[in-house]
Amino acid sequence: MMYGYKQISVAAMALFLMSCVTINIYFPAAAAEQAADRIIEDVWGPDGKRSDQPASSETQSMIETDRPVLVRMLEWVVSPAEAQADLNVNSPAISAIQSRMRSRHDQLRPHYDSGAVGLTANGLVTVRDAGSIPLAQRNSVNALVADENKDRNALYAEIARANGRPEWQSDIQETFARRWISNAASGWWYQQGGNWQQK
Amino acid sequence: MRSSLFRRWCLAILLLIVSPAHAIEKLQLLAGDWQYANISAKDSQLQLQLTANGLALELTIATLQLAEPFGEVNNIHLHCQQVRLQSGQINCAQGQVSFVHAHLGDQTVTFSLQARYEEERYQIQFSGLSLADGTLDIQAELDGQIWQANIQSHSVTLESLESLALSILTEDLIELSQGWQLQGELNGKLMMAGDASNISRIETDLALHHWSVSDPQSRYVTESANARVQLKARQQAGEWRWSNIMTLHGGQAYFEPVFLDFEQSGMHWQSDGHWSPANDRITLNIPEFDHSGTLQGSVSLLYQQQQVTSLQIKLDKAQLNNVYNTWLQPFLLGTAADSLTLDGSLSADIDYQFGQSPELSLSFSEVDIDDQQQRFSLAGLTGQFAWTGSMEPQHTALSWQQVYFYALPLGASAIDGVSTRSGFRLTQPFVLPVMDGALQIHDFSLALDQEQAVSWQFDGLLTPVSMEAVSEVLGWPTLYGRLSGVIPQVRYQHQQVQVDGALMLRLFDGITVIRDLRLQDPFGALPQLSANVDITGLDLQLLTQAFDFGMISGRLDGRIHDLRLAGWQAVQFDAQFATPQGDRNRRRISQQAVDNLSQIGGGASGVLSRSFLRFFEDFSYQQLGLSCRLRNSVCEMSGVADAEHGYYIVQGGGILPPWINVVGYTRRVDWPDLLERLQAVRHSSGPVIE
Repeated sequence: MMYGYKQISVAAMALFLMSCVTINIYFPAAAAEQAADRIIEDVWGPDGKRSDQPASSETQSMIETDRPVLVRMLEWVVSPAEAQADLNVNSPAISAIQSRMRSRHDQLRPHYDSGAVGLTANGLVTVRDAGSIPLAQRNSVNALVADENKDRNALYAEIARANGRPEWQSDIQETFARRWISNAASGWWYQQGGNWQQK
Repeated sequence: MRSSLFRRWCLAILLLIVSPAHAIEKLQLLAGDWQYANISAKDSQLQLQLTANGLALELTIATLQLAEPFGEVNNIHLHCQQVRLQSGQINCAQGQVSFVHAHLGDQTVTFSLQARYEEERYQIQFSGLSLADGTLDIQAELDGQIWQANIQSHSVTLESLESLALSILTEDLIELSQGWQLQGELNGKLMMAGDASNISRIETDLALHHWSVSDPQSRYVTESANARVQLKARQQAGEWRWSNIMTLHGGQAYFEPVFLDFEQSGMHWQSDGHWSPANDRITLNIPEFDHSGTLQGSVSLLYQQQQVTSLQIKLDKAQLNNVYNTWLQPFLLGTAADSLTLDGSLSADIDYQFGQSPELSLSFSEVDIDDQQQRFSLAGLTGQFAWTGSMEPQHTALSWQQVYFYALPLGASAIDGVSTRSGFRLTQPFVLPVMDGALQIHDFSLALDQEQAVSWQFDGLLTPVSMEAVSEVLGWPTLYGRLSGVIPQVRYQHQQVQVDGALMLRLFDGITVIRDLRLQDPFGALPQLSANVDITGLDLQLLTQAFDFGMISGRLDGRIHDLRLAGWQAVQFDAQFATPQGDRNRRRISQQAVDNLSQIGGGASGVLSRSFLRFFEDFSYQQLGLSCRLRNSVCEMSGVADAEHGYYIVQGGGILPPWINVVGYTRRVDWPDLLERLQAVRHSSGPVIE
């Protein structure tokens, strides 16, 4: 009888421990950076000078120190299921946006080179030095910038949606922001800490 | 005080002239250094000489220190060959003065002077004050406390005026002007008048040539513009009133974000206004504004407490394409309306009062709107549109000849409605022809919320539309059937169109029901459409005939749930199609259809035709079906039942042989690849024939 009780207790404990298993799907920062690099290379072609900086994984190496000791002990016994999700960027919609951005890049490139257009810290582009654009071309450059930003925003949102994680949009945008800057060609301008800097 | 000094000098000269030493013909006064009020002179010398015409005067001062902003003047040499001294006045009809000044440089200027010092009336005229390559003529009159100055500019460059201005501006103003660039040439007249404490009148008729100006950020720029500025301004009791005529022709300008090419399209306006600095109030009326070939109209504005509190704009038959290209499109970048081609004319009456929704009355005449990205177009828009924030209803009546939503043509129609309290509603049901059917819209209403976001809703009925026609214009394979539906409510909010209720399609003798239809950002970079689709009782024979797929007889049920299209391309769905159980229709499948189905399952084609089964035209089957779960461009496929290492797409059976099974082995298929297979249906390894 006692033995039976013990058996039940162990089973109950096991069940309890099992029930504590949480599945944390972290934003796959490294995969996102690789995906971003692939897209950037496709859009910019050989323009963007490849950066040798290793892809950082800040988002991934999240240490949860504020959880109760008991929970951490339980997790030691039964480690939480962590899904390091992959990030898929293959969809006809993403390809369509990429293709539009690729063909627009030929028109934008001279403006990156001249410093008229720069990369913002939030993964978009903006007119940085309007003075270097002839007056008659200003509106067409403004239109290029607006179209590019529309596509970039759509791209970030679609990658998140295509992966079934719309809430990742800001993480994806933030990852792209870093990678656009990292891959930018020498001489291009980018925003950092509110200031413009030149690669 | 200065006139008192002047009088002392005059008195001294008079005394000398009328003194008994009449034989003296030349008199030299060495005043050396002197100081009076805040003027000081070093090494000054006055020489007077009696000539046949009167008295000649020559004054030299090595250094004259004047009050700021004039500062130090050096090497002054002034002479007048004919000084007339009369009771209470001194005249010099023509004199010359030369000097050196830090900002004005070396100057030699002719002058004339008439001083009635007793009456405190003075007239002085300078000609030929050099500023770079240009000259200024200055004529000034002082009558007691009242003064007037007339300045005539001859080819004076704005750069030289700027450097002169910088020398006399206060530090605050200098700081403000830093980074500005100014170029151009100024010709014309400037008149200013006032008293000891104020300027009371300004009149100009100035011509600016090759006028280029730019702020530090290059947001407000003119390049080589030619302008004529005529201004009459008068100040009374601290309040200014003015009238102005401005003409701009030649050159270009950019006032962020508007680009103006005056070469192609000059600009002219007349305005009058009133400025009350004490009340912080400006009224401006532009009764005549003409942007050549683009728009004519009038503007009336009241600026109070540092904001525009009232604004009325009237446009008279503006050429919409020019208005759009110049004045509207720069503000619409990034929206669905940023790449339009327009034709026709627009008259507009806009009335804005602070804190209220603007009153708008637009009159369209034969307006065509074409989206350059071919997402929509509208032709022959004519009529009146009104919008008001007030309680009083304003009437709208618009009609048009043709509308396109992507490739879908929507026919001629007209709407009647009213606007009240920042909203709009239809007063009569509206019928929008859709191919051979129509969308009947009831209770359409549109509202603008406090964030100026638009929302609208209607309920309606879609009367049967022939799918043959729809599929033809959309470039689809011909679909036979009709689309119709009762639409309890269509809502647009937060850039999302949501269709409540169900749309029903009668296709291939079956019923297709579309539910939970949502369309997000329809004209954006990536329109998103989501829906759940259920299909029952499709006649496979009609379907396969339509797609030239090879004959299959029987019925088909199916569903496409969680369907999401991005940029009108399928990116996600859970689809299942299968012959319904219990259906007693004859079930036969042709060789060609077997071949094609096997290719969809990942096989090769032509195997049947190489086996003895080629002698049979068609086969009996028990059931067929296919499912695809699309995620990340990969379709996870399945059939009607599991087979060894695969799944049955077609399971043979029936009363009479031959029977045939089609088994698919590829579970995960690249979606673009599958689409290719569906469209081409050419590569095949043949079905597995059991």
